[in-house]
Amino acid sequence: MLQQYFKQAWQLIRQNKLFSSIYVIGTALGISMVMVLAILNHIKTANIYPEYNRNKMMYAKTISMAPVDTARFKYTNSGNLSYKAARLLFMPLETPERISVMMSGSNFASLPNDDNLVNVKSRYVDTAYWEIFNFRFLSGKPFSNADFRSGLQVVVITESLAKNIFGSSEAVGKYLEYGFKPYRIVGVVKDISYVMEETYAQIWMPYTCIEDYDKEWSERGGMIGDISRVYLLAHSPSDFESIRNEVNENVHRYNAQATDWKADLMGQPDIQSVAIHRYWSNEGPDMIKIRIQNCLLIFLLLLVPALNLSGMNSTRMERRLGEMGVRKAFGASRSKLTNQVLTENLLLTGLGGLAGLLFSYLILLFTRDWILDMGRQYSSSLPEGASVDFSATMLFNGKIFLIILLVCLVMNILSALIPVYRSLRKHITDSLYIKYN
Amino acid sequence: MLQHIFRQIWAQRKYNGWIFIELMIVFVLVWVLTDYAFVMLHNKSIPQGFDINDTYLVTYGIYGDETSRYNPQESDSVKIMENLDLFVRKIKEYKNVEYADLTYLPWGSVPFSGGQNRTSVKKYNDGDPTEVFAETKNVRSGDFFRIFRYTSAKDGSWERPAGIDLYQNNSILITRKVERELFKNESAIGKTITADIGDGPRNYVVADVLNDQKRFDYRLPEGGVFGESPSATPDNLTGFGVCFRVKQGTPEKQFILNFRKEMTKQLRIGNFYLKNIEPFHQRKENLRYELGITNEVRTRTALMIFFLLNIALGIIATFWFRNETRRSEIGLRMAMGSTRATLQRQFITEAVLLFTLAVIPALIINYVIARAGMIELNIDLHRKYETVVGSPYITQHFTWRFLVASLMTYLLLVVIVLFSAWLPAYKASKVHPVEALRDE
Repeated sequence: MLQQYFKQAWQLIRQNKLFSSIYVIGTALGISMVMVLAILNHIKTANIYPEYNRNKMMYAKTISMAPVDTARFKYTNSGNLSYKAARLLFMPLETPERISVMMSGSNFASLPNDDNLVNVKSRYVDTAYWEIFNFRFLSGKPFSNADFRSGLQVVVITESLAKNIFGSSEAVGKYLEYGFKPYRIVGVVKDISYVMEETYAQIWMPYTCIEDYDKEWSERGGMIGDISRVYLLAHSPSDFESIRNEVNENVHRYNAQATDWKADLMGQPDIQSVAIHRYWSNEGPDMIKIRIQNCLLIFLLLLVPALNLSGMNSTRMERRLGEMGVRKAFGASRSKLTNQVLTENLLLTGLGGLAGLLFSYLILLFTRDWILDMGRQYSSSLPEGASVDFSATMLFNGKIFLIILLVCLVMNILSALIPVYRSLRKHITDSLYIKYN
Repeated sequence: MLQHIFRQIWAQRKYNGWIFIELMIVFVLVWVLTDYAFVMLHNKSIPQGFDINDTYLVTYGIYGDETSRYNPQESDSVKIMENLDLFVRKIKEYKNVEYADLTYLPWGSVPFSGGQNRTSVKKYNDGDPTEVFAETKNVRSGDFFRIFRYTSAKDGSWERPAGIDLYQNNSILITRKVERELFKNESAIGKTITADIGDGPRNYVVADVLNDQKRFDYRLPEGGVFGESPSATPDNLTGFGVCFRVKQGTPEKQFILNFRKEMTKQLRIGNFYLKNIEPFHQRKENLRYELGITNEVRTRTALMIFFLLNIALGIIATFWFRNETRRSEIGLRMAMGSTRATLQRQFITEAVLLFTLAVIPALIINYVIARAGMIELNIDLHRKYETVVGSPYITQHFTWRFLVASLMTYLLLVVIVLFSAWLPAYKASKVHPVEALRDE
């Protein structure tokens, strides 16, 4: 039966080339926009090299400190976590599988006394970082626990940085200068795409080799500092709730004995889909508002083309009124005819969907330098020499194909249901009458 | 004629309904986008107040005593200041450089630095102060005005402010906006005001008034006060950089490349080294990007293109298929003596009328949106969609802003509608009357 429908639909498409092509373009237009949004969301939240554990991760980056006595201190302060805050609130956690702390910076990398200064992005990390993220080591390995504890000046660098400085990726054991201080290279990793927010860098080193990394400032309880992220890797997503409870307990305990400043994590630690929306240190993202906005946007992006298609469908149904009348006269039920027309329409929508997907890939290709920052309230501009590369798994995967199928179905129903329903509601005699008028 | 077309539209309401709804929704949405574009373009048309073409910022680094390149013999304070002088002098003498000087950078003293330091500026009128807020700019030397070309309101020259020594006689410069707000129509020159330009509130004498300046090109002008900057000492050197202007028309890419190549070694003076050279327009673009404005504009442009394409496609499709079903009517009209031109005109008028009808409910929706303050633009100084009393800017006048944005939207869309309706109308009118009547 279905095969029959499709055969018939294919004939119809070939007979009305103009109608079909306008219809396909119209569908593609709407679907491509939604697909761009879907792919962007996939890149930001799915498990992609080297962040393969995103579905089991929780993040914390900011803290807000409110004065206990508002007569003494007037304002609430907020900022990144300090080492002390991480040590008190996160490091003692027992539920997570791994806990890691990351600070970030940038400086010049170079050979000793050489004038070729390469501006690099750096991450100061611990050993758990290398277990949470799955870096592909081309040679060497991460720095060891002993290196970390003794604050040894050792680094892991990317292949491209090794090539830039040494002319080859064989760099393990050699020395380079970072901020004009010598470091020994212990590992070389495959380059990280700029798209990967937690891991993009050219150089990684133990944070224990920064002077005063654990210094306690006296202001605001010493809880605001320089830590970019605290990573918590859960055994499984079902542990998220208990991790959150454990963190809240630690915050309560801290606040219970705090005399001047009380800490507030504003809903942190975040799961991946929330973390990507956290920009400001003084407030968390309003996820309900963000979700409503996104749904509204997707609805509008589908609605406007769907109105076009509805108009076209209603003209087409008018023309096929005679055919429908004859089919009805020979006993076809209304639901059967509805099914048939919707299936025919689905074929066209499917073609449109395919064109739309290809079109969305093109859009991403041409806008890749900035499209990931779309909708952000604050973003950093692309560093000199960095390139945004999309890997195949970011663009071609089951989830994306599933989404496009879903979007096509929604589009199909949006655009065809009302015209078809209205057309088939007509009495047989009316349908036949018009044909021979 | 018009009445006839109205009847025609009504008769076809079943098919026109879809495109009518689409035109209405798209008008509402495009209006929101156009309103944003209108405010942007309006603000952009206001003079910037300074000129960053051909200007660059060079920043230096200083090797610390923990680095491998540290030279302890160059680290006493006399040596440091001598080396810094040499660093600046070498840039001054570099080819094509017109003006260069050590410049105080923090808190938005130079254009497009991201930070901003706003101070309260007061005028005491028999004890009762009038207060306005303005950006503070800390200026180290007259070359600042030659480099960035902030101009005097009196004669439009930058040499006039450049000739005023801000370290003498408590001199300060203010912009027109501050003068207007504090002194109404009087001249402010020679008058005393109170401002805090870094060392706490103090009395200053206005030495000259500068033309209005905008912090970003898409914003309305902000008031500014220009006073002395802290002097450079070995302890505050991280707050300084070297700004310079090159001869007009010096190709930028080549200049930066040559500068890096020729000066990297030369500017390694004592413990100083060349950290970065960046043209100011690059800083402007980066800041625009970081604040999300670039992406906002791109997203809105993409949405605009999307809606316009949809409208075009919708009109073409609707009218094309309708004209095909109306072939007998077309044939009849031609047989009755209608020319091709009148036929085309009729179809196009029909489309434009249909669009205009859809605009009426759309405008009501837009009015409600505007009144409810649902589109607050963060590119404006005054974020609300409302009238600011006494403002000279049309975008701060509710009725005018609404009218202009609506008119712009209408004109933009009507062009699309005209073109998309013409295409099928042209094709339909090309049919031979006999051919068309055969359907009958």
